[in-house]
Amino acid sequence: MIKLILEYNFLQNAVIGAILASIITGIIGSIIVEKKLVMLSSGIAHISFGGIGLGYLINIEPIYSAYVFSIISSIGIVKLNNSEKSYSDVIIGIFWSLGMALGILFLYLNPGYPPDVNSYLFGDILTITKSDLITISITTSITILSFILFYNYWIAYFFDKEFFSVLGFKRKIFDYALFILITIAIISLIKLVGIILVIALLTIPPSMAKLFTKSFNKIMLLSTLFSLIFILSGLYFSYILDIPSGATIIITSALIYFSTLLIKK
Amino acid sequence: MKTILTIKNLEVKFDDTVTLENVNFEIKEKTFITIIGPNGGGKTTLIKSILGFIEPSKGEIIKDKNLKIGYVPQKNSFEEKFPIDVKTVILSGILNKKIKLFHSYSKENINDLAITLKKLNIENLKNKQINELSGGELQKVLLARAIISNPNLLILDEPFSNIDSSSTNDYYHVLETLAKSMSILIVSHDIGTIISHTDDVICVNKKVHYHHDKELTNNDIQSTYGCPIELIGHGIPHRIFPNYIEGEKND
Repeated sequence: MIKLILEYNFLQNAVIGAILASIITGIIGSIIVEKKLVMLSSGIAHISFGGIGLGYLINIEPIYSAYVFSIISSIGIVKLNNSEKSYSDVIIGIFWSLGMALGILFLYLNPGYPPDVNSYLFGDILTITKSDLITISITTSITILSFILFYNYWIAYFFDKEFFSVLGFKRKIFDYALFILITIAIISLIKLVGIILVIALLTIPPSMAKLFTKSFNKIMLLSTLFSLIFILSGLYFSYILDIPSGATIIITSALIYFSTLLIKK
Repeated sequence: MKTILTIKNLEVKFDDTVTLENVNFEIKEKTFITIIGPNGGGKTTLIKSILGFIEPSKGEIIKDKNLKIGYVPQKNSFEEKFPIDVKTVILSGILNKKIKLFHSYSKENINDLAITLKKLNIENLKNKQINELSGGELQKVLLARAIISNPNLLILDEPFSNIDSSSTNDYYHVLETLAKSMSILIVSHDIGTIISHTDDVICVNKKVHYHHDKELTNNDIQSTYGCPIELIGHGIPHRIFPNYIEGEKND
């Protein structure tokens, strides 16, 4: 396999993409799991389909329009959630369906043959380009920097938002920043495993890490490691067996997770 | 004694429902004040107004320029299962709103941590995870987080709701000691016990009555709760009939 990686550019891209994606999963996935934001993250992933459809309609790179479309939507979710009368799961549910519906409409309105959106829905790590790698690198750098620069503040915010406000911090700024970080993390992983499966990649590694440690920092580090193992194993099996990579990565992750869960219990 | 906080003609409304009206009182330094009242009467609303979480529809809350608030929240307001250790939680009480990039806690901060742990006799919990603590231990850790920055007003919202009676007594003694150096404003349903530790009592049920005394008459309590009270032990009104306890969501 190593010989193949050295030989083929697309495999090198896939491995670099896997390393970068693992770092994102390690940090953002751990936050999603610990803060119970799985439903929200799943919603954001599906909302991005609207942005992908829009990209095809206005003829720009669909992933770029997905970033803009999803960031605007996640800001909308935070804004509406801050209102006393709204319920987060209702708002997320509405945005989720609206995003998908707009995506379908934009694709329908797109002149000519309907584009093949399978790689966005189900992912294909073997089609990652240099330009995709640049986008994922930027997302990874933003994620690492945002977290390291404000580490103590994030931890205080994650544990107790109310007390965080009593300390004098603008909680809403951290709400928006967190949602934007989650959004860009999700969009950057879409090329690997797709809109439908991305939530599994963000939640399985941290859930497995939690079986081994109770420390948040260690959960993040272990998640990164597990995520890398999952993606590379999935990539290996999909290449060897010639089956879809996105699905293989998730099935491999789930199998390893459930086996570990059984052994640990 | 110096006044550290003044509330003038405060009114709080949610939609068109008035939760608190015509609230007027002052908090003097080094005073132990207990807030009592029925569920839905506005106790938490009063506290959240003082903390700045709720915008009053009328009136004002005037804070002394040197006022520093320490806060111990209700049990359900924080992430009890979050993987975080005790020392990190307590140290977070030191953070101030001037955000520093790559912030790390100084030697002085670590020293303050050691002093606070010792003051509350919880040095043994320092490296434990929050989700490993008992109810009483957790309350002490939250108290430690609130006092590590040396506030002059400590606000506690029903700190005894999930702890056993021996931990509660222990907690009262700690609060009594703290009251020598700071004002304490505590919401409690445990009227019978807390009344022997407090200086003043605030009865809250939409309107607020400030008693500059811990001695409450049966009429005071009945007018606050608006229901019959069962008298037990030491002649102190203590128990509220359960059919009145179901209250509004906000309290």
